[in-house]
Amino acid sequence: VSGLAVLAAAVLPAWSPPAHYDPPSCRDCVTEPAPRVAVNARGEAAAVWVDPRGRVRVALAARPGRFGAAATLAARGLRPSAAVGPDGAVTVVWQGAHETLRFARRPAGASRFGASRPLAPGDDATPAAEPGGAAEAVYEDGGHVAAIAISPSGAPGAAVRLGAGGFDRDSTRAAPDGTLAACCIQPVVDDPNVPPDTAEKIAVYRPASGWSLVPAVGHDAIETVFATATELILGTVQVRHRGDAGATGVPGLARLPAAPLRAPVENAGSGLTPNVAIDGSGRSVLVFQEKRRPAAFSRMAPVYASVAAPDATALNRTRLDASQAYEPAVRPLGSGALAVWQRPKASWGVALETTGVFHRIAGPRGPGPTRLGEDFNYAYDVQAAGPYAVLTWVAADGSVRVSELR
Amino acid sequence: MPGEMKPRSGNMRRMTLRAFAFAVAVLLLATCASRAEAGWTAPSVLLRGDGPVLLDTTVRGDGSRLLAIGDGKVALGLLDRSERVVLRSPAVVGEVALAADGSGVALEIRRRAPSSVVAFDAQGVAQPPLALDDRGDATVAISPGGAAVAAWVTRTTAGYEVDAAFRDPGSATFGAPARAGYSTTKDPELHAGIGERGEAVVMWQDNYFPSKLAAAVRLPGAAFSPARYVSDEAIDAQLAVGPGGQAIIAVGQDRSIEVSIKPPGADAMPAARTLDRASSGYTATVAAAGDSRVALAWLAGTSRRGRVQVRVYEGASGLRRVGTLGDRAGGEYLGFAIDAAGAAVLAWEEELEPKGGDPTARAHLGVAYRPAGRRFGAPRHFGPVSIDATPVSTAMGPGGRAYVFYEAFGAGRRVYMTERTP
Repeated sequence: VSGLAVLAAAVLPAWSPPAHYDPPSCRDCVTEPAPRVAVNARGEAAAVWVDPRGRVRVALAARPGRFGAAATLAARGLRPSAAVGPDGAVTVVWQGAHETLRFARRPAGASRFGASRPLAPGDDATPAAEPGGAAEAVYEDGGHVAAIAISPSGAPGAAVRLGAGGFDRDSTRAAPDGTLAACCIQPVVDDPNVPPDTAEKIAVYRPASGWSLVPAVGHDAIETVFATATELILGTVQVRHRGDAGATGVPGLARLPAAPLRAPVENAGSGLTPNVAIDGSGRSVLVFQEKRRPAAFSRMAPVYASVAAPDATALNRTRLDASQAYEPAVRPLGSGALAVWQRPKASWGVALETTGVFHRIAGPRGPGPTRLGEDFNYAYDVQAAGPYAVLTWVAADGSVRVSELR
Repeated sequence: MPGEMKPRSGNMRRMTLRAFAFAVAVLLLATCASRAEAGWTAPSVLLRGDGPVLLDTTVRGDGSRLLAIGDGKVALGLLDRSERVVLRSPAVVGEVALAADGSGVALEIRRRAPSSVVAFDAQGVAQPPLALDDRGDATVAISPGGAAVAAWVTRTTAGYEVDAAFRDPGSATFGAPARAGYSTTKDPELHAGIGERGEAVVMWQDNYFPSKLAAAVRLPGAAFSPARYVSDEAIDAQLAVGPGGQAIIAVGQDRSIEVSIKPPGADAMPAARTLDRASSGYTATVAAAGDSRVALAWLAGTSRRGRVQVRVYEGASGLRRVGTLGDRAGGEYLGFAIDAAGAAVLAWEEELEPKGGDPTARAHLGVAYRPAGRRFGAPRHFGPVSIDATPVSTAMGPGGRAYVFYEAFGAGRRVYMTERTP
C-alpha cells in the first residue's frame, strides 16, 4: 500500500500552496470579486479580480504555481477577464467607465503591464490569446454579440458585430489554442412569408479561419460551450422547468453537428448545470448535477460525469460526489480532463479523468470557496492548458485565492 | 331565460342566478335612467363578486346593450333583458367578439388540445364548433355586421405557421384556412380584425420585446397578400380594423408612438412611422369606425415628473391630435371607441394622491366625450376603481351615445356602467 501511495504521489499532480489577495478590511464588506484565471501550456498564469475598493487587480505566475504580488490595472472596473498567450503575454479586458471595455497588456518577458486603453463600448468580455501575441475578445454590445481583435503590438482593431444575441452565466469559453466559443447568436429572420430559421448560432473564432457561426442542432437549451481548432461541443438541457435557479431537465452534450446525447438521469426534470469539454484524447466529457428531490431556488445537488468516445451514440454516467455540491466545471487537462466543484463547508471537490475514468483527488489546501448565493455569482473559476490547471476562488474571509495544479 | 339553464346545485348555481337576475334588473334601471337625463348617468352595478367576468359588450341599433359574460359553470352567457347560455362548463372561453346585432364568435380553448371557434346567433344559439389546428396562440374578431375571422398558430414541418379562416358577409360558416405567414415561435402575440366586406388584417409578433411585428392583409374574396414587417422593434402593438376595411396599427415604443394606417382596399400595412414622442410612452389603443375613420389614444409622459397625459389622434390616411386629457394617467388599459361620425369616448385610469398616512395606490376613472366634429369636453371622474384592471370596455351607440364599463372594489368586486347621451 505504501508503495502505491508513493507511486500515486509521484504520478498525480498536486495543487500549489494557495496565494491569497485583498481580504476585505471588515467582515461585513465582503464583495463579489468575481475572480477569473487564464493559463498557458507552460503553466504561466494570470488571475484577475475586483478588490473591495472596486479596483481591477491582477496577479501573475511566471512559473507554475508561483503567483507574485498583485498589481492594480484600474481604479474602477467590472468583470475583468484574462488571456495568457503561448509566449506568456498577458491581456486583461474589463468594463471601465461609460460602459466601455478597456484592456491592458503585459508583453512576454516584460515586468509590468502597460497603461490601459479603451477597447470598445460593451460589457462581459472574454479574451483569447493567439500565438504571436495577438488576442481576440468577444463581448456583449447592447443586444448584440461583438468581437474585436488586439494586434501583437497592442492596437485594437475594428469591432465587429456578430449578430443579435447575448450571453448567459457560462456561455463563453476560450481554449488554450486561442479558440473562442460564445453562445448565442439569434437567427436572422427578415421575411415573414418564409419558414423562419429558428436555430440559435454559436459564434466560434479560430485563429486560422476567423469567426464562423455554427447552428445549434435541436431545441435543447444551451448552457455551456467549448471549442477547439476542429471541434465544437455544447452542454445542453432538455428543459422541463425554468426558474430563478436556472433550467432543469435532462442534461446532455452535443458534439456538433451531431444531435445532443442525453445523460441518464433518475428524473427527467431534475438534471442541471451541464458543463462540457473535449479531453486531451478527444473524448467528450460532460459533468452535471441531478437533484435528489425538488428544491426550489437551489442549485445544490450531487455531481455526475459522463465520458464518451467522439462517435458515441449514448452516454452512461458515474457519480463523482453524493453530497449537495454546487457549480461543477470541467476542463481538458493533459490527456484527460479535470472536474472541479464546490462542496459543503467551503471545501473542494476535484476529480481527474484519465483513460475515460474519473478519480477523485484532493483540492487546494486551506479554506475553500465561500457560497455567494444561488443567483449565479462567480465564486470561482478554473482554466487549464496542457498539463496545468489554475483555480481561483473567493474564500469565506472575502480574500481571493489562487492555486495551480502542476 | 333562466328556465333553460340546467339545474345546478350548491352556492355556484344560486350565485350565478342571482348575478344574472341582478344584472338584468340593473340594466333595465340603467336604461330608464339614461333616457331621463343628459350627460353621464350615475354608475350602475352590472356584476358583483369575483365570479362573473365581462367578456365583451355591444350596443345594438336601438341603443340597447348586450353583455357577454362568463360566470362559474356558464362559460359564455349573453345578458340583456334576459340571459341566454351559449356555452356551459367544462368549456373554457378565451375570447368573445360580438357583432352589433348580438351575434358573435367565441374562442373555446382546451388544455393541451386544439381550440375551436363557436359562432352563435343573437339569441345565443351556438353552431357546431369549428376545430382549429392550433398549436399556440389563437384569436377571433368580428365586424359589426357579422363578418368574422379566426387566426391561429399551427405547426407544420416548415415551422410555426400563422393561419386564418374567414366567415364572409352572408355566409353562415367559415371558409378553408389560409396561411398569413410564419412565426418564429408557437405563442406570438396574435391579433386580427375584419371589415364588413371581409377585408381583414392579421398581425403577430414574438412574445418577447422589442420584436418584429408582422402583418398580412386579406382583401375580400382573395388570399392573403404577402406579409411584411411593419416594425422591427415593436414593444406593445394594437390593431383595429374598421367596417370599411381600413386598419390602424399602433406600435408603442419607450419614448414614442408609431402608427401604420391602411386605407380600405390596400393590400398591405405600410411600415410604421413615428406619430409622436414623449419623455416616456405607455399604453396605447386604437379604434376604427365608418368607411375610413381611424383613431389612436396613447399614454405619454411629460417633462413634469410623474405627469402622464392621454393624447388622442384621429383621421383617415393621416392622424392629427384632437385631444389631450388627464394629468396622472396610468394603468394597463385605455378605453377608446369612436363612431362613423367622429364622436368618441375615452376612459382611462387617473392616479390619485395617497390618503394621508395610507400609502396604498389609488386611482379613479377619467371619462371624456367628444361630440362629432368638436372638442373633448371636460372629463368626469368615477371611482375609486380597481388599479390596472379598468376600464373594462367602452362602446359607442347610435346617435352618439357612449358607454363605459369599469371595475371597482368596495365591499367586493363590482363592474359598473355609465352612459352618456349626446
